[in-house]
Amino acid sequence: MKRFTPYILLLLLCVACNTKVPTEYGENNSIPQIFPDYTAITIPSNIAPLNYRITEDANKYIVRISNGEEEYIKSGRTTDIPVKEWNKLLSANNDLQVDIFLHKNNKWEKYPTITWHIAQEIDPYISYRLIPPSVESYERLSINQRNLTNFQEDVIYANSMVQTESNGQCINCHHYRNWGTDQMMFHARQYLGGTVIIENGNMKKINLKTDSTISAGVYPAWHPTHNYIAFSTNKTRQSVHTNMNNRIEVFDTESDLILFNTANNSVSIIENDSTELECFPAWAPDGKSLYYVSAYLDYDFGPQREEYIINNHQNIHYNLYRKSFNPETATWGEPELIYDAAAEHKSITLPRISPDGRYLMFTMGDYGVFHIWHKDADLYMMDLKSGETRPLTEINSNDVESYHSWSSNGKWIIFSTRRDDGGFTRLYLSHLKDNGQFTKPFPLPQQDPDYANSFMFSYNIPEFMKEPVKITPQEIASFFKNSETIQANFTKAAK
Amino acid sequence: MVSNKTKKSQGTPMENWSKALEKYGFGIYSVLLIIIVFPLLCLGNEEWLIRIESKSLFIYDATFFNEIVLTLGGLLSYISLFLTQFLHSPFIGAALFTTLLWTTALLTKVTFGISTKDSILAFIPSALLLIMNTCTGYALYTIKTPGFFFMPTVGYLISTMVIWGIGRIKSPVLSIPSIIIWCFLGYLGIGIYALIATLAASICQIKKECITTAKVAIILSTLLFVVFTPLIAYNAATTANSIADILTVGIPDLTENQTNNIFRTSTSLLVAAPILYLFYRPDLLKNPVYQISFNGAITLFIIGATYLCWFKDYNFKAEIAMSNAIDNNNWKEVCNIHKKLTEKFLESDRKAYNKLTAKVNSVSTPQEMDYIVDEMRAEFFEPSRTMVQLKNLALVKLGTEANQAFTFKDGGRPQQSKNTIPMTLISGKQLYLHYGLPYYAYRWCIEEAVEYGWNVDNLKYATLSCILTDNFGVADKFLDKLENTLYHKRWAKEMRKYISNPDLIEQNSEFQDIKALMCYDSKLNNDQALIETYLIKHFTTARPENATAKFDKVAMLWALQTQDIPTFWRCFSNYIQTNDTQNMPRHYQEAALLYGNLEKNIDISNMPFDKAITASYDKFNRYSSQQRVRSTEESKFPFYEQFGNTFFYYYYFIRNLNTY
Repeated sequence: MKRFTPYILLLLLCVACNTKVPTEYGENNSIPQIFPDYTAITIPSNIAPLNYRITEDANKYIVRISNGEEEYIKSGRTTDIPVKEWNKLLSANNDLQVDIFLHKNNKWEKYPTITWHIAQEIDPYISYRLIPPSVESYERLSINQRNLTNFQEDVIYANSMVQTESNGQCINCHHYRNWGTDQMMFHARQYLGGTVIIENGNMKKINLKTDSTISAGVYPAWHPTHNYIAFSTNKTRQSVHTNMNNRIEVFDTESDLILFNTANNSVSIIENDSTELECFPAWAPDGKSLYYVSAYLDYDFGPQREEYIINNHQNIHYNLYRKSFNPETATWGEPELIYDAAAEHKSITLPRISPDGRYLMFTMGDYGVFHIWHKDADLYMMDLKSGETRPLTEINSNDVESYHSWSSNGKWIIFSTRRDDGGFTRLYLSHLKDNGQFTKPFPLPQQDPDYANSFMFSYNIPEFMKEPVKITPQEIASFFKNSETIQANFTKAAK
Repeated sequence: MVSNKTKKSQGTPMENWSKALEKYGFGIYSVLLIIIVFPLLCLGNEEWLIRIESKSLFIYDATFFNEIVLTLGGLLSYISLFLTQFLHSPFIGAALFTTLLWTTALLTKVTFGISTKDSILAFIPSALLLIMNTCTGYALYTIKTPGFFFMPTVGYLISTMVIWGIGRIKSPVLSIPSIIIWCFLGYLGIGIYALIATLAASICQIKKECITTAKVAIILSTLLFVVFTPLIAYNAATTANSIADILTVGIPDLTENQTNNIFRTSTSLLVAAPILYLFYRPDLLKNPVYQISFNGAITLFIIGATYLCWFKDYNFKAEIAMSNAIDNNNWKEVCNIHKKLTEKFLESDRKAYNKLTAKVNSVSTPQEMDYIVDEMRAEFFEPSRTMVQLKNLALVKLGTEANQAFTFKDGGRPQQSKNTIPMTLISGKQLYLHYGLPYYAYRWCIEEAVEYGWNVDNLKYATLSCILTDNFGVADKFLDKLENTLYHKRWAKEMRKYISNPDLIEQNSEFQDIKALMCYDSKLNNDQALIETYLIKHFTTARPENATAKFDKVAMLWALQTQDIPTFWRCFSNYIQTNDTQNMPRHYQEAALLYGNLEKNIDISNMPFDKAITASYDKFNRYSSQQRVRSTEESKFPFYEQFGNTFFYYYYFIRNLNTY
């Protein structure tokens, strides 16, 4: 075998060198069919290679990607562009031209050139939770981080590292302060549970449930300048639709907003109107106001409350509110209605303000609070300067659009959607142009273009990060096992 | 002289046996293994093997390989899953497993130098491996380890091969580094078996070594590596395992609630076997009498233990066979399995009844009577709730439930296992799908996949659910997986036709049967994993205005099962609105006659009951008045023999069943 090795290598080299763009070909004017659909998109100047598979059948396939100065040529149906080669192409900062040649019926055909416009850089990391689209089970959950400039994916923490057969652990709501990972948090429910706050490598686990609050902290928003995290507190339930494509309904029977002071582990109330279901806090970039959503629920029948909500779940509509905040004195202003979605029989969730404070993006569906299961849920954007709100038609699909997050430079968004197959959530990226319009969204690049098709988990809560989380999963697991939970103190909020 | 020689060579029978053992011992036991295990597996337990395969998944693609192999013990899982797929064909699967058991014995014999006369010792691991699978029973539904059926076998085989291989290396300069490299790489690939092999191989080296310091060095370095390898692997190579589990990597996880003592003991013995064999001395038993006795005793022990440890709940096997028949849309077979099992036990039921009567006659207090009745109940054949519901579903499919549902033996025998496995896990997907609740079927496919992994069974039912609810994108994803399997690609291709051309769904009678039951308005609810309770509520309270005849017919079956008189009349009034009333089914007549007489709220005097029904009812009443009923349980059997095919019997004798 050994004596054949040089010949085999030579043969491979010849085959490799032989890949050249055909000089004679006919023009085919139809749009080349590739998966994922990377046609006519704008990409960050530091994104990982955009590998794809040509879905049209042909005898031979040749692809040329060029930046005007250098080119990468590859034969075969599926591209697997080396990161080094790709980075060379990106380094010129010119738009990339993709030419596809198919050999069919004994002749080459060239398809119209695909252009990949190059725009500003994107944060180099994202993190997300991987979760099966189930109702109750959570045997395998992990919070992962992905390097967007290549394909490296690592586990930040997985529940399998501590849970036992009889002691399950649900992990959720990972969150960072100002896109950095020196200050991050997530929740663990049930076994060894608590809210884990990691600051500069130091971990602490807090029980945010006090006698004066309805639950531990749920959806977080870390204050941009001060030591506060706003949380919603929720009594969440879920039920199954017997004959409806939304499949599952997740709803709150009660919810409020609290403020946690990370310096002294104290909790105070932000909003706890018994006729309102407040949720999803989000700070304005200056930290002087808090946006949130809230639904009016004039009902209090004790234990029958849940049954009432189940029977009336399609009549629960969340509006968008804002509350001013003085971070120096920790005092609050009155709630201010920003968008009356209920008047339109719509329901708003997940408000997120762009880093420059200009835009407010949210998810809006026909009803309810948990739009990841709502086929009608779409992304909307409010221009806080003009007050105008519009559906992001250039981004939305016929299926679910839900969780979204702004990049630290405000030029990119990442959002979760079920557009690929209707069942599993996938992540898409899109670029914000200067005119406030978004470019055509494209899926998170994968080394194997068919990876998303075969992957049996949903991506959940995508968040941009400027750097990777440095603490190891084993350190977090060890912390869970060996640390005491700190009980948060309840203090009355200053008015 | 010649005659003396002949005499000497003939020897005593014991000596002759002993000589035969010395010469043919391994062959004799090999033949025994093959003629016992192979037929037992592929003839008596073929449905079980098919079910095991359907609860696993092997996909021929890189993503699957990466997902499995990049976990601790992943290589072992991958090889085991590869082998498990062949259980779909029980003949091939059984042959493969039997061959591996034989290979295990052969390798054990060769590696540990077991003499031919003591060959039976080499078969102990094979017996343990067989027991580890056959004792699992209902854990089949909750086992979390991919490829569990072949996993210990493959793990043991690889570790024994390694011990053998390292034992062949003569130079310590080569053998000790080999042990160290093996320890780490082996642990990543096959888990604990690698650590055991490391220990065993090191002990072999120590035996060879003459210098004390070298012995000490080997002992210390081995212990160091055996202790630290799992810790290093945990910190560097996995986030899928808890630190508490790093010493059980490669051992099937039956889940805490289902792990039984037999499994635990077998596993411990198997894991310890390579070390224990190192203490074997071939010259221990020289006397032929002792040798033969020893061999005989071990053989009997192995056969006896294998028999005793085999999980023997007859309902478990029947449920599996019925589920397999449903997967193949063989509805008649579902009913036949139930019927055959009832017939099989009829004679023993008769004997149990005689025994019960004799015992009851001798008691003096009601407490004693209760005790005896409870004790004797287990001696009568009684189907499980799952069997009853699968049979009912089959009758619905055959359209004969209204005349036959209560002609089958009913009951609710508990599972013969440590903890009850809910019906949702055993057959929830099938029941929900075929009763027109594909979203619930899908939900349980996903829940099962999350807890116990994706497998052929949940992928197929998830696909069917998605096709029925027009979720073709997700169905397509599942079919991609199934198309890359060895045995299920044809099924996947068949289903893909419905995605490519949804009009074909209208032409498929199975799909249309289900769609006819999907006429209800969507509601938001939760089954709390109690499928029977949920289906009763769904069919008897969720009737839509545009209910189909089929919906009302199925609702009648569930209404009858409630034994609730108002529910029956409510559903009956719905039934007569949408169905033919000319030929009123037998069980409806029986229930109407019984309920009409029990409660005089409904006038049944003008109802045209069949003469045979009224005659049967009169006979039932006469018989009841003649019986001296001391206990319902005691009367159950004679009533069953006379009226076991009527709703009257069901109403009076099938009571207080636990659903699960």
